[in-house]
Amino acid sequence: MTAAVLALWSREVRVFLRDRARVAGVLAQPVLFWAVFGFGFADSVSIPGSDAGYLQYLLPGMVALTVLFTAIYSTLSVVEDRQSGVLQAVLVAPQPRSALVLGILLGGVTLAVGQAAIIGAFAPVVGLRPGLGGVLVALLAGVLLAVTFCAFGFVMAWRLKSGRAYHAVMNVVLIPIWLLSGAFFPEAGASEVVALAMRLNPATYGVGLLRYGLGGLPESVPGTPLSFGACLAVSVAVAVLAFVWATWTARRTP
Amino acid sequence: MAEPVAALDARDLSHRFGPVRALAGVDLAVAPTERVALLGPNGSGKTTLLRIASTRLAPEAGRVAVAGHDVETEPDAVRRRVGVVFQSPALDGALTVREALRFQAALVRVPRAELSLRVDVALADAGLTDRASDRVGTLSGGLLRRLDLARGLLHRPALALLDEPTTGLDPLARDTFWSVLDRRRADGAQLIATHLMDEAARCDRVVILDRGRVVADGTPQALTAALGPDALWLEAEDPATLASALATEGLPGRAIGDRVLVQSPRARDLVADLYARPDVRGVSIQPPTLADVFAARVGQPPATP
Repeated sequence: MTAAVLALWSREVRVFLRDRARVAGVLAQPVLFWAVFGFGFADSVSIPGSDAGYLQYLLPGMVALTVLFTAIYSTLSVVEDRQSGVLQAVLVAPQPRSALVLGILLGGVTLAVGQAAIIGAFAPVVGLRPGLGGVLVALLAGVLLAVTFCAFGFVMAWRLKSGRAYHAVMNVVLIPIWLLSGAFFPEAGASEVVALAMRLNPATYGVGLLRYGLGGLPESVPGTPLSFGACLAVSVAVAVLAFVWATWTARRTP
Repeated sequence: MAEPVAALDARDLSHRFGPVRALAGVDLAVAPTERVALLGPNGSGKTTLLRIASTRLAPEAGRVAVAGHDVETEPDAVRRRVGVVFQSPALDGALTVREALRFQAALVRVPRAELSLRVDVALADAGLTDRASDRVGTLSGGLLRRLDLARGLLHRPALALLDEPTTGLDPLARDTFWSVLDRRRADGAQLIATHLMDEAARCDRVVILDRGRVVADGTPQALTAALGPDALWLEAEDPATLASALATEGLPGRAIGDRVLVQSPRARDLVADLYARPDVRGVSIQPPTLADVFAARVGQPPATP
């Protein structure tokens, strides 16, 4: 099983790295968003409890955006594998379905966290000083977010027959999840309905954990009333549930 | 001495897709190292049978065992023993040829110590050693098929299931593909679904499926011999009417497509009289082929690839 998981993981990474346009697109998008929104809203938005400015607030959100998009879209490979026939070959191999899920998820997590780390490296530029502990927490947050959204993407990819359907569904789901995660604007100041949606959004807790990490593990972080413990506990629980969901889904014939 | 366990043993196998009956009580056994061709028109149940034997589909009724392991209760054991070559190559175009085989080796649990040697041998076998570092996506159709065959047989399965593996290949590429397949005969049994009669003729046994049932099962020689010494085909304006007319005259004829097949041990003696009939436009007579067997058993000529 280990060899199969490693083989699936390394294939995901190799195939991604060989697609230069995909690599460039995934890296350019958050940087572009960050620059446009950050500078665009710099003088219009103030974050309650912070005087650091919107560019600093937005950076963890862009790290989250990178994780979410890369994690989700990495599982598009499942749809492509079904169309190319590779998935058939995997399914008739003497491997448990959990190995298939684990291999694909590990590949997606590697890509998502790897790219998010590049965006996260801009932290000192906007005055964030995470320190070693903070970096480790931010990495953990990235991994938990990536596992959650890779697993979610896997479930969708397993059920949807075409790449177009996959893109359509993901665009509908992904943008609201990101926007309502506290990545773009804080919960404080949002309407009650939006604040409730943010609390119900599992990504909110991952983004919160990212803020704690990139902020250097402060007592509290600006823009969210969530504690570090709550962010960590919910993020771990959601990641585990998502993985179980993906494994359960994979037991069915796609 | 105990009998060797069959590579494939299907008993009373049935399956439906909604209202469509794909398999209706199929019995089929394939001996170890036997090569069996599975013929039949589109929709006859060939692919369904292969899907069930490879654990991709649970049968509705009946039992299938691969090398003694039940496909439903021991799927993992079955997957260790089958190698599948699909209608379209199951390969990732972004990997190199060697990477594609190493990926497969990991999936089918080739021991780490044997991995490099096994991949090298497979590459050499498929004539792809000099293309090992090229991306799969750059290979021609023929090379792609050979690589896919190497992929499917990498773990030396007890039963290789090949579903129309040469579709779309030119005759030269098909010949090369079969040479590779020939070299892997000793590994295990081969069950090959095909539309091509010359491919079926290269097998030890031919099984013809029609509407989910086995309508013929035997060696190519036995099946053709059963048609008689000659296959007599008549061309007619109205084949069905001609067949009926011949039947009233005590001559067994069957309208198949736009012709009538006459099965008679006296076929040669009948040629002149039949040719003289006004309702016959032409006569051809030759030793029977598998295409004639197919036509006689299925009631339609084999599909032209």
